[in-house]
Amino acid sequence: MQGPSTKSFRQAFLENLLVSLQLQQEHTSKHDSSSVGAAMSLHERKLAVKSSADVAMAAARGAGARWTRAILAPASSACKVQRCRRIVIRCRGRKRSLTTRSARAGDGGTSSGGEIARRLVSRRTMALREVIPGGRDAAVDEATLLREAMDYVVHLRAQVDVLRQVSEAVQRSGSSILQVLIRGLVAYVKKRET
Amino acid sequence: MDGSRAGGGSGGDYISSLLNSSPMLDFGVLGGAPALDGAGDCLDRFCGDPGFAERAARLSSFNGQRFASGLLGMPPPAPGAEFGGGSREASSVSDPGSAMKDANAKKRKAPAAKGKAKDPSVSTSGQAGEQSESDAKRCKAGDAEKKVTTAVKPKAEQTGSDSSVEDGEQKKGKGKNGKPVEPPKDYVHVRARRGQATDSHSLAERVRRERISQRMKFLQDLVPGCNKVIGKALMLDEIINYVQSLQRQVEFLSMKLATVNPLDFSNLPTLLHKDMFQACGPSASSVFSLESSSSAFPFSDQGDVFQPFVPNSMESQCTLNQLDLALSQTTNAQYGFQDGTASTNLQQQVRNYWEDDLQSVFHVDNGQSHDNGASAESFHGDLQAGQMKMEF
Repeated sequence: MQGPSTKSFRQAFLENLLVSLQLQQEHTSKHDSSSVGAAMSLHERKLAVKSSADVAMAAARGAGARWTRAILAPASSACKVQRCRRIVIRCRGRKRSLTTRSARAGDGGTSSGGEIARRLVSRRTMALREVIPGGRDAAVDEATLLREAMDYVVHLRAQVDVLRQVSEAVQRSGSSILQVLIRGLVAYVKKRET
Repeated sequence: MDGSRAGGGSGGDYISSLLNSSPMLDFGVLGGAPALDGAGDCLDRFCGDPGFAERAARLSSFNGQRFASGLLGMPPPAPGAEFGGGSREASSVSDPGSAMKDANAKKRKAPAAKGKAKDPSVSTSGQAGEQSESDAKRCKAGDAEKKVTTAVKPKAEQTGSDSSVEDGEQKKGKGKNGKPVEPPKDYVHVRARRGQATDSHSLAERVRRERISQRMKFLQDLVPGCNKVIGKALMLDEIINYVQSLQRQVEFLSMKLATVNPLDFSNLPTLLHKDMFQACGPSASSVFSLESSSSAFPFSDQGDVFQPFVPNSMESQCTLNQLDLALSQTTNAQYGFQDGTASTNLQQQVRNYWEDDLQSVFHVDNGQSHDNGASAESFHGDLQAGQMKMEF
């Protein structure tokens, strides 16, 4: 799943975080060429960190899951065509959900327990699709959705842990994020070797 | 289990590899998957559920071709049909009238191999084999209620058998809808129970439901607090809440990280300086002897990992070049901001340090089993580990 060499997820995540943070900064500094020295606002920085963490998680996971593709695709492409395609797919998915919901609602008074249950379940499945990246695709059936959710939950938990450790380390040591990441990587590699 | 649960076990290989890839589990049982580092200290943090191991072990014995193909994102016709069917299922739910009819037709779907081959918990459904006619009748009565009241008695009706598998977490009212598109899959070898219908549709349908139920079980283990909840809707609720809370945590943590004021790379030269000059002897020679061009890197996996990062205009394929560009521009920006004079000298220094470091790192012999990009040999020395304990 991660190619011939087996890097642990956390280490890969750290590395990716490092790279993506740098790229983010580079990206922003490139974009506002006018304010080349302007520091990013807090919100922008937060967005940068968050998106880079997500991209790092997805990349560290490898291409084996659908949600990784869903996260990475918009991050790597600024292409309008792709964006349009994504919007179209999203609309199609929403339309389908709308039609099904309305059709069901228009059913009238027949609401047996099972149908109510079914409705609840399908509504929640719809909500799960919204939450899981890549779940909005029409081609994702329920089984796949559940599997994606499982995968996503696992990696999300790891991401939260790593981010928490990084932020604690940053606060404790007072050095910058970059230093902390590098030190962490080195320590991790050393630990793995021993 | 034998291949009888191939459908349900279609996630076997993938889930086993999935579980192996996650940092939390380290199943020697499920060998074959790349042994990612399930670092011991992660284990207790993530999952102290021994039941997980059993379930995973059980799953691992299944064949998983179909799942693997689904993995690739290019599903062969069978999963493709199923996807189509799956997506249609939502729409078919909207039509309870036809659903009723379909359900009646499907109810005959003998949960064939549910017998001994499948699951110890399914033993109850083994007796249900004799009650085929009563099942059929009951099927007609109320399809949905059957689903809900699964625990009632072991019916031969597929929902009943399903519930016995799922231990009553059964609100799959929509699972039963007719999906007569599933082509018979050759790897599904289910043994029909007596008096049960064994047409391919029902078998496939049952297989599909079992897959779903298995995954729900897995999710139940993953999501804390789901054990008390029984029922698909409630569990989905929990799962959604959990995922949302995790995402909120990520946001909060990233905000916290962002408050560290500089996303700042001006410290880079000092940091690398320290690390570089504390490099141990053996690697130092290798560092300086390898002056090869940056394009000669064995980026076996590095390339894969970093490829998707190219945001817009990074033309070069090499990670180092990317980083180099990034560094040069960031330091430019930083220095421009800080003291108004972009000191090219310092930039050059920074670039050299970074390049040398990564060069040495990536040129270190990849004979090591774990081909880490960041080999430690060039980062020896004072790690100031005391300052920070990052447990991985």
